[in-house]
Amino acid sequence: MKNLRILIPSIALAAMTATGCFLISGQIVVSANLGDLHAVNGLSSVGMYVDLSAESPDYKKHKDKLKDIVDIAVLGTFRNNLAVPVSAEVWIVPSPSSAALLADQASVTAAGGLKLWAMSLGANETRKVDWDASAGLFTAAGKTTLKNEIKGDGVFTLYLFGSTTTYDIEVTNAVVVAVISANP
Amino acid sequence: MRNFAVLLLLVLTLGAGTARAASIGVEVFGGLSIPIVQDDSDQGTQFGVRVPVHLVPLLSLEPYFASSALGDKSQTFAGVSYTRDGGKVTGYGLNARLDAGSPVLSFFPYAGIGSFTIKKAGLADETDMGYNFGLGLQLSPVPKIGVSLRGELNAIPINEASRKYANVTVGVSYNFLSLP
Repeated sequence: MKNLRILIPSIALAAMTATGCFLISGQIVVSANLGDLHAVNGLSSVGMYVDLSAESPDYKKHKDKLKDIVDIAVLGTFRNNLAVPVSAEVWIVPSPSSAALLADQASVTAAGGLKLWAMSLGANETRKVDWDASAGLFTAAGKTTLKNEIKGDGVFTLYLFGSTTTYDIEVTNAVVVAVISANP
Repeated sequence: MRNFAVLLLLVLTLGAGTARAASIGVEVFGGLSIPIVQDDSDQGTQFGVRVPVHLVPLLSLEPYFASSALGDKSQTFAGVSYTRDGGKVTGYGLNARLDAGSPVLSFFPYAGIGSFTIKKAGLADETDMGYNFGLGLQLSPVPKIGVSLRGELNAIPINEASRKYANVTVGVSYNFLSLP
C-alpha cells in the first residue's frame, strides 16, 4: 500500500520536473510589420531591416526567457502585376552588417542570404496569404535560419524577389509572425 | 502541491474501508479542452475512451485514448485579420487513480503519462511524452454503470517549454467484468 500511496504524487512530481517551469511557460505571438513592398526586376531591391526587439514589445519582454519557436509565417496580400506566373520569394540575410538594404539579389546571396519562403502566383493574380498556408511555404534552411535569428538577437533583413527574370510583385500589409514558447 | 498532498492524504484515509471487488470497464467521455496561455489555439472539444482496471483496493489503472480538436485562433496584423488552425492533439497513455468513497458516489485523484501528437496545418507533427493529473467524481446509481466528471491539467513538454491544456470531461462507464 505504501508503494501505491506514492505512485500518483510521484507521477505528478515527474511531470513537474520533466516540464521545467511547466505551469508558467506559454505560447506567445510576436510580429513585425514589413509595410507595403513593390519589387520589380532591374530596380533596387526592396525589403525591410527587422529588429524584433524594437518592432515587438512582446518579443522584447520575453526574449531572455525564450525557449522555442513553434510557428512562423509571412502574411500579406501579394499581387503579380505581370501576365506570366511567378513565385514571390522572401529572402533572409541573417546577420546584416547594417540597416541599409543591399542593392540586388546577387549582393544578398553574397552576404549569406538565402531563400526563406516562396509562393506561386498566377498571371495577374492577387492573393491574400492565409496563416495556415504560409506556415507550409518555408524552405527548410530558411525556416531554421529565421528560427535561429529569433532565438538569437532578433535582427535580420528580409527581401522580396521574383523567381523569374522579369517580375513585378507587390505586397500590401506584409507581416512576419512567429509563435514563441517562453516563460513570462 | 501542498493542497494536492493534503487531498491525497484525505483520500487515502477515507478510502481505507472501501475496498472493492476487481473489475474491468470501459468509459467513453467528452468535454472541453482549453489551451492555457496559448496565443495560437482556442478552446475546443475532447473525446476519448478509458478502460478502468480495478485490481487492488483503492487503485485503478486506466489505459486511455483521447483526441482534442482545438478552436482556430484569429489575430489581427497590420489591420488585417488572420486565422490560425487551432490544431489537434491525440494521445494515449495510462492513468493511475486512487478511488475513495462509496460504490454509489466516489471521487478520485489521478495522474497519468502518455504519448501525445500535436497536429497543426502547415507544420510537421510533434509527438512527445506528456503528463496529466486531475480530480474526478463518479456517480453510480445503477450497478456496473457510472457517470463521471473530471477536471485535469495536461502538460506536454516540448523543447524546454510545454503546451498545457485544462480538460473538463463527462464520461459514462460500464463495468463489463466484475469479480468478487
